[in-house]
Amino acid sequence: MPNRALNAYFGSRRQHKALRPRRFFSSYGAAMFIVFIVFSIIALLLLRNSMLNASRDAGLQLTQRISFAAVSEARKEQDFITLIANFAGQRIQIMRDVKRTPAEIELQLSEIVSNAQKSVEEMFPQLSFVFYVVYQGKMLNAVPKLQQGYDPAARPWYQQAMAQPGRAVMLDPYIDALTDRLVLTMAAGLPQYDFVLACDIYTELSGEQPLTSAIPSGYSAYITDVNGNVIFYQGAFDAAAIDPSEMRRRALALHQTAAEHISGPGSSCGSEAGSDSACYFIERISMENEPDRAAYYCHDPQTNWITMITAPADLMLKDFNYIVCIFGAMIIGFALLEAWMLLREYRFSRQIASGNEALKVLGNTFRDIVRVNFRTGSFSLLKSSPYFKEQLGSAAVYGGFMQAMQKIIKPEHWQEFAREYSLQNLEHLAVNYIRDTGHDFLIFEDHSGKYVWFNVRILFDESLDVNESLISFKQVDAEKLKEIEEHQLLKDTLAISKRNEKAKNAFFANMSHDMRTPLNGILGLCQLAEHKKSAKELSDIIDRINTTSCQLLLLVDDILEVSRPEMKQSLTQGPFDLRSFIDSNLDVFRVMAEQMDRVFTISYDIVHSRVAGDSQKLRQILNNLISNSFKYSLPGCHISCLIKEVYEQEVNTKFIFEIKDDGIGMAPEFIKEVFTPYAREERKKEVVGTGLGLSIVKSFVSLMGGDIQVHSEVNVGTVFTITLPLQLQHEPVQPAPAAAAEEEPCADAAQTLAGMTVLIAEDNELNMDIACDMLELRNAAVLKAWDGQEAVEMFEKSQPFSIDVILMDMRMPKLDGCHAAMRIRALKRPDAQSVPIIAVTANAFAEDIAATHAAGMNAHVSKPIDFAIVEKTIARLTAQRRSRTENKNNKR
Amino acid sequence: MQLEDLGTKLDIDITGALARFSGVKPLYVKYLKRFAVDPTFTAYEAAVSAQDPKGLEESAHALKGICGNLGLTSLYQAYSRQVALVRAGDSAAAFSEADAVIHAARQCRQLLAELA
Repeated sequence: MPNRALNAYFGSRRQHKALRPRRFFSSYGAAMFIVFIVFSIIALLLLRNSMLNASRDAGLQLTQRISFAAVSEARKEQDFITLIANFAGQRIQIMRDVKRTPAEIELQLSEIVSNAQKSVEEMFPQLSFVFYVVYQGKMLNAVPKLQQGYDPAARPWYQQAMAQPGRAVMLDPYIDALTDRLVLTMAAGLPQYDFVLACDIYTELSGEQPLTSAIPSGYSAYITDVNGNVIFYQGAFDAAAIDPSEMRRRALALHQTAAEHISGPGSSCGSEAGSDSACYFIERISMENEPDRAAYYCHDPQTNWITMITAPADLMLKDFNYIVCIFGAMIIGFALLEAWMLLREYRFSRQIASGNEALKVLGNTFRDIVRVNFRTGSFSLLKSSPYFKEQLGSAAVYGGFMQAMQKIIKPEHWQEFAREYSLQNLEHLAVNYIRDTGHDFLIFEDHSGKYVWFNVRILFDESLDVNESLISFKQVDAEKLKEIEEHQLLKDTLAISKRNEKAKNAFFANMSHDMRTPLNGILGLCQLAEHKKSAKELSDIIDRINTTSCQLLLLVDDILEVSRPEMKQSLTQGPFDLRSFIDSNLDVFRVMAEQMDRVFTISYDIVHSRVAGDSQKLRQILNNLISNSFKYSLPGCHISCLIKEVYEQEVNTKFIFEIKDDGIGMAPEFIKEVFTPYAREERKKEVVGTGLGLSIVKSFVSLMGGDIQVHSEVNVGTVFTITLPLQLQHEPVQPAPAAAAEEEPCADAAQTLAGMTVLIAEDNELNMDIACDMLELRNAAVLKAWDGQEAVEMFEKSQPFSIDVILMDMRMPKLDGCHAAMRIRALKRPDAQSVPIIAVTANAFAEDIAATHAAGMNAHVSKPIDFAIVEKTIARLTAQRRSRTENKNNKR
Repeated sequence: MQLEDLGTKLDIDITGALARFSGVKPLYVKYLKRFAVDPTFTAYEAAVSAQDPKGLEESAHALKGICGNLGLTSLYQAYSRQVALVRAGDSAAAFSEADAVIHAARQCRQLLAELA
């Protein structure tokens, strides 16, 4: 999709939040990291639990094995004693049978016991044994320090041995009264021989001779009886250094603590298969000198021995702590890595966003971007306006693109475009590594509905496919138009410069001639005067010198006027009487007309004569124009000057000055340059002048805020129409008698419209209705025309003189007001020239008024329409018309 | 709403307009109400909507004349500016200001429609 490609390249408005996906991924990564941490902690907890279980099981198994081993050893000793006792019994029987003496028997028994003790001590070197025999109520190997009157038959071991003959009994451990050491006594009795074999076993071990090597370092193993008497101990501290009673106290405390934990929560029970001992695990137990220890507890029901092993609690999780440390280090490492990656990604994202924004700005400078593969002849749109897309339709091959371009490119530019943007040329540019080239074309744009300048560039770069190029369209209308305008300006300036140069050269050539001629004339006349004696001749010569000097002065005046820039820029406003001023200043032309055989007339169509303005410039304007008419006309020609007032309001009154002659006229080519400095009509060679007069006139008229129009035909005549705004002065001026007939009209304006027929040309319905209502209020009949064409047709079809006045809007469809007025004036009917036509204009610029005057309209009212002014204007115009008609009739 | 009330709500030159209507108040009110439904404004809106510079210039010119006749000073100036911009070749500026002109014109037409 083109849009996807566009977004990929240049981003879009939506991509303003381009960082969002990356932020999402960053958040996603962080979330995954947290999940990983959670799962890791769970795994560690499980691992810890598993390790604890394994440690517990191992501890329990160890305890059971030690318990079993201790009991087994005791059984072995028990069996051994049973065996020795039975052996001794057999020897007693044999010796009795052979009639041995009791002393011999006792000796035999003593030897047997002595040998047995040696054997046992060899078997169990870590223990100490004391064997003794009671035969016929007599202790054969009396224990040292035996109390006087000691009766073995009264001792529990004797009684229990005799009570269970044939099998050694094992008594609960007890503290030997003589040694104050814990003693485990085993005894086997043979009542038939009155014989008992007993063995005291001292279980306290030395540090050098451990009971078993299965107990790991740091562990303590206790084997006690149910009363807490320690039968066996091997562990972290040296038992020999402790008082036996202290040892017993510790064991008893351990036993009690264990018993409490076994009955409470936090303990677990387990037993090895095939064993009837009950084993317990206590996770944490604290004892004097041995805080924070885990304990394993096994009770053997046969011997009532209790085996307890304690181990440092943290020793169980020693490996786990290592794992946790390693894992923690890994997590910290990963966290740091993730943080670094996030930071890197953030910076990278910012760089990308910044790059995207820059690309977007660059991309937005182009309206359309097309990617072309000149090998396959295909193209794709990276960016395009809807209008361009619509023109392309579904085309995917380059031919379709060119067809679409042919539709929208200006026909004159198509050939160049087709040549420059052909696939062959694209390939040629790429092969020659011409990376950037382009031209400007006029391409149709739907927004403005016109052809607009586009700079169409062909871009090639190695980052594209080697067979691809980009074609970009950038609107450069304003720049191009400015460039064209500047180019045209330069051309015009050059042309003007050349023309000015030419004109100046001509001017100097003429000047040389024009100034030399009167000067030579003056010099010649001076020389002639020296030889003339009569006063009449001298007077005649002086007159001629005077005339020639005036001519020369006129030339110098013109030159000075042009060369005085401050005169061009400043106006000298002052009140003056227009009629008097013109009469007095133009009177010289009446004389000149008589001298040169011309007919010169001045006429006025003004209401107000007292005005304010720059009268000197007005004088020069009129002098230049009228003197030109004299210069460029032939004897017998008519020259007229009409001064006409276009009254609206006091502040906006304009005067039209129409200087008309039926002289030699101007060629159309010259009319174009009539106001150019130094330009002169060359058809009448004898005319003296600088070619600056009309240039000065044009300059002054513009400075005064007026307008000047010229119409001329060769050998027909010339009309200059000047429109100048002049401010009315309050002091009324009595109209001159000569113009009285034309000026009298509008005394009873309010009643003027009654009974009149007014043709209104207006294209807007509402404005038309307002005008109709206002006129009908004044009892006028109204004819409606909705455009200029209809107005002409309605007037043409009407009876002559049936329409009294025409109100003509300026801007209308089909035919505008000026053209409609011109057509009406051109009609061949008696009232075509005389019917008053009043222009209704939105603008009151001098050029508009000049245009309405040139079109033959009699007056002008501006919008919004003030019907009082309309009424007055109609009254004045109809009065003038009536007056002229009467004058004509009188002449007839 | 009475004609006199309009002066407080609209930029309108009632005195000047009435003078042009020769002081005939009913006639003036009649055309004010006509302006509230005048189709030229619809043509102006259509031209703006279609981004049609020619249509904009023609309709704005006509509206300028009507507003001038009726003394609707602000609207007269606004339409005058629209016309001037298009004639100066700056249609884009005219279109960019057109929405504000339409808004003001709608408010004005609504008020004029309420005239008694």
